[in-house]
Amino acid sequence: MKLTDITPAEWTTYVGLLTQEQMYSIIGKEYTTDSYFNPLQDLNDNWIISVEEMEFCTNIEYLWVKDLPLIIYEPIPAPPLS
Amino acid sequence: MYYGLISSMKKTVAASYTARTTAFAAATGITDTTILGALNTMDLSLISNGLDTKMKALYPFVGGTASTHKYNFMDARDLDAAFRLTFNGGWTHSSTGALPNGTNAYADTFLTPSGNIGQNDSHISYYSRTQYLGNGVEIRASNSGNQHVLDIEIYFGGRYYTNNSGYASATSQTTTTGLFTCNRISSTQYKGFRNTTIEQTNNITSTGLSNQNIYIGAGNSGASTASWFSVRECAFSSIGTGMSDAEQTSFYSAVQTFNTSLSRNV
Repeated sequence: MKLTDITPAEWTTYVGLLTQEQMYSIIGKEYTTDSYFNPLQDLNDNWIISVEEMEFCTNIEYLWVKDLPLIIYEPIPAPPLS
Repeated sequence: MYYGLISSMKKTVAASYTARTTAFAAATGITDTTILGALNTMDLSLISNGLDTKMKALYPFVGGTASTHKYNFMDARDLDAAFRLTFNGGWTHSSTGALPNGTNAYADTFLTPSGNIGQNDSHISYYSRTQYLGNGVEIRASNSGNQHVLDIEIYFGGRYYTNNSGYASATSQTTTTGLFTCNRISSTQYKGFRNTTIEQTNNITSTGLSNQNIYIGAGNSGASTASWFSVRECAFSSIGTGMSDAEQTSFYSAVQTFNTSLSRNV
């Protein structure tokens, strides 16, 4: 599944799947003006970025993120707050 | 004669905005007079109520882009030292504010409680436009052991306010929209407000100040790591010294008037 296959209402369901090499190439880099990639690992140790980062990317060095395969997001449970 | 007339007109226009509004307009490039008027009215209200000196960082989230939302109204320089925001992960920026995606979005304020606010004299605020009772932290920093937490959040349906201490008990929450403020002006007590209503009075002694940057849209878990991502859209946030109950009323009035002027009040 690709970015063009989903609607904005589905953006929170899916994330873009990165290889480790791709993760290292974008981490902390600007995807559009004043906005920076923040790759995370999901529950299955996949490196992922959000659909927003893919959709809003305008940096010509990283436009390939728009073609990343989408997977359903399975977050790592957040640590307890207290 | 014409030079004198034009010079006089320029002075009149320049004098119509406060120095902070003028500086913010120059930094952001915003020329929309509705936005600048709303900012200016808010600034005048803060000044007249003695609240402007309590604001270390004030993020009005106007202009609709990351490049305009990033600026601290109190110090509109494009510097970490001016507490200019850095947006990480997936944010949606619009005229109604900045919407974090709940997956990986957070904004780094570069403002650490230690060295910038007082252990017994501090506040944080977050104007949420989103009704959503799921977990998420609006604004937070702590030390690694969570003894010195400064935050506003929803967890398992409960609202937590914490101010330079360990956690207090949560209060049941049904409404997640409005201006949420956590004020401490005493070593032994702090209060959590929704708008002007005191939701919590916590008799908890302050323990210290976090040395981590405060994050907006998620929480800094104590090691410069963002966690507990929120999906509640932010239309104003501030960090500074603490406010009394009366000052909170004036603060809410200024912020609500500001957002009403921009047709995004809740």
